[in-house]
Amino acid sequence: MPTVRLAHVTKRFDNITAIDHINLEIHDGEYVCILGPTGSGKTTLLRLIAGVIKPDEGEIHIDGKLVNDVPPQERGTAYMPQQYALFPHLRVIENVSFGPLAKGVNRSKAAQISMQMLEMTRLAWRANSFPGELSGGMQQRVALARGLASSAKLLLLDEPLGALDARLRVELRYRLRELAQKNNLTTIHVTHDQAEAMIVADRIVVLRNGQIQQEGPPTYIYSQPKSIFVANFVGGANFLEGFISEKNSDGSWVELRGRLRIFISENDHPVGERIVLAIREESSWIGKNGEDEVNVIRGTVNTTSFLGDFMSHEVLLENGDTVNCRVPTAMTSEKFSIGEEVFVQLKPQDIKVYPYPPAGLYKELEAL
Amino acid sequence: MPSVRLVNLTKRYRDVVAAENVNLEIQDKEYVSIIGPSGCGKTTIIKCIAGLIEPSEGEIYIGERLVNNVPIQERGVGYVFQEIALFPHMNVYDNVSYGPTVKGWERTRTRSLAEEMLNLVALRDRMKDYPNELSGGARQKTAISRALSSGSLLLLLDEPLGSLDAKVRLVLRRELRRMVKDLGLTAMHITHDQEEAMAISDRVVVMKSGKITEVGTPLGLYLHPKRLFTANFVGEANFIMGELVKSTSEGSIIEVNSKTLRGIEGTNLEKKEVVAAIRPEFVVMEKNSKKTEAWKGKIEDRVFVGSVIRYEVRMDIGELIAVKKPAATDRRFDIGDEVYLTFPPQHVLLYPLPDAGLEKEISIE
Repeated sequence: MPTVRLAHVTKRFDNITAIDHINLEIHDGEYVCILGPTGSGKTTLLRLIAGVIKPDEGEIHIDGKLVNDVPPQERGTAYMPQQYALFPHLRVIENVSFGPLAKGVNRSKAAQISMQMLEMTRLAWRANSFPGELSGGMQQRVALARGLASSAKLLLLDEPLGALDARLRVELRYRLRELAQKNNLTTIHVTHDQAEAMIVADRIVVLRNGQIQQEGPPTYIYSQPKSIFVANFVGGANFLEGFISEKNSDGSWVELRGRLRIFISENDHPVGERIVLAIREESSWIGKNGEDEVNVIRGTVNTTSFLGDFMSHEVLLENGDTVNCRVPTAMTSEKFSIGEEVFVQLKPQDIKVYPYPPAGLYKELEAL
Repeated sequence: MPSVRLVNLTKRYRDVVAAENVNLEIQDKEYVSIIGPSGCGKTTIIKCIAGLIEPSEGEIYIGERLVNNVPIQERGVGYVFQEIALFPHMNVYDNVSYGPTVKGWERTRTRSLAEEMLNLVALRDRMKDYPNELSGGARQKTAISRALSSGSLLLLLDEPLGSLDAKVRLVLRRELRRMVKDLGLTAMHITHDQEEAMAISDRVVVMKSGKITEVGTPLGLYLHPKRLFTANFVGEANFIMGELVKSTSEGSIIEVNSKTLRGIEGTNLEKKEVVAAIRPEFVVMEKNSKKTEAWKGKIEDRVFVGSVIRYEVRMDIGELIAVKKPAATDRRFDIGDEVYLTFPPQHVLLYPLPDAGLEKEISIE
């Protein structure tokens, strides 16, 4: 029954606080993604749980047992670091069955488990190759199979799909999730890729500067980001600066740059407060005609790019702000060309409001 | 006028053919991406153009000039690698002005060019910083502006965003295209990320096993891929095997077990085994359907992918079909629901069943 609990865990390197008083509880069988930009502390957090490094403060419990002083090999975890090392002189199958054999599993059973894991990572056909004969992506999958074959029930993965081609990564993330479910594993998976996190995770923990910014199921993080940082990092959005100019029981009026006024359905912020509005690109509607509806803004198409299942149009609004509008390819009946005059609608209920960041919006977005 | 022309370009390493009979023309001021799985030969091609490796056979023209025997520094190319290569002991300004300085440009001219290039990547206020004081994104921007300030009109980019965080990559790819277009450069950009290729390029070259599979515009490759491999590699697709039983001017009918599919292509495939491909977002999913061509099935999986929800539906006839719906408009289906799928004929792409089998043909290993 692998559960993990971190209580006030802090880790410093010289004068840098990599992990800053983190409290986190992970349930049995849960798949948790630690998501954050480079330098946010996500790898340090995983290394602390694996036991490769020790916390300066706080407690780490695995299965209800305090493990601060328990060495890595006795924590019952399979840890796959970003820089994994395969045995170069052993064949793929021997690399994978190393763990089970070391634990005293008999030879035929170990081979059977190992082949199963290699099938899952789609490498059974290279079982007899040596690591040096495989591509980087294949080697990463061998390391993953080896971690899985160790039969540990707590899987710690640091960017497990990082070295793979984008196309293969997309395919394998579905498998990874399936694999964890089928084997009843508790998984902690570190990544900087929000799309990956949303697909594999039951719960996402967003990390920044060693602190948890927000945690919850993917749909919650995506639909209710608590900060500009989370909105920007998970999914991205259009951000518009302004201040609250008026409010009533239905919502508030916000004055944007160029004295453009738009209506939002939230009214928690006081009149006069400087704020930032965020709206998802797919909720920023683009059209050829300006119907007489709320928050319809005139603009000109700057660029238009095709992203596969989406088209993205960058529109310069009449007040000088720029927004991106994403339209599903399957729904693009209207075509927009560069320089064309269009109308953008931002529906009040889709707009989120945040206090203006002390260091400025640009700095907050750039902080990635 | 940096157009690029490759004629029967072949590169062999002992018994391995890394690139085989590659013919390709890039227009002046065009932004072209080369995509393909690891080991497909895309880096080999760029290295041949840069002059870092010599082709075994074939000709390389930059503009009208045959450059096979022209050394690297005289080819007029700027080169950016995945591994960010800056001089660690030089600050941002010195890194960017390195090219013009060694070429013997006078100081004021060097300075104004370097500042202009740093302006383009919004790094002018970081001129005095050293590489180790910058984020990965800022370092790669410095490397790009250094390549730009070399004065080359042909930019070769080998996974220039590969070592960056996913989010930074999204921002930087937009900036990269804008810079190349503003400066009127020709760019060749290698990536393993098909979405990046589509977003950034005028045209995309798809490679597999050392050969060009297909060349086209992003939209063309996505909506009308000529090859099964492209349909799978550029975006996701469902592949359904069946027999094309009838083809008329109205379209064709494909039998899949007891069900049928309609397509608008396939006149040359009558009575043949075919593979039908359809993108998950073009599949129509309904709770009820009276249409005879609707396929019945049950939702096995439902995953939220940000702005999209992706379903996997197990059809009664056994096929597993992926369906994607925009999250904003779709809240109606759950795991376990019985649903009916239909496949709009204009989005059903038809291909002859490959001799080596479907799996082998679309394999990305």
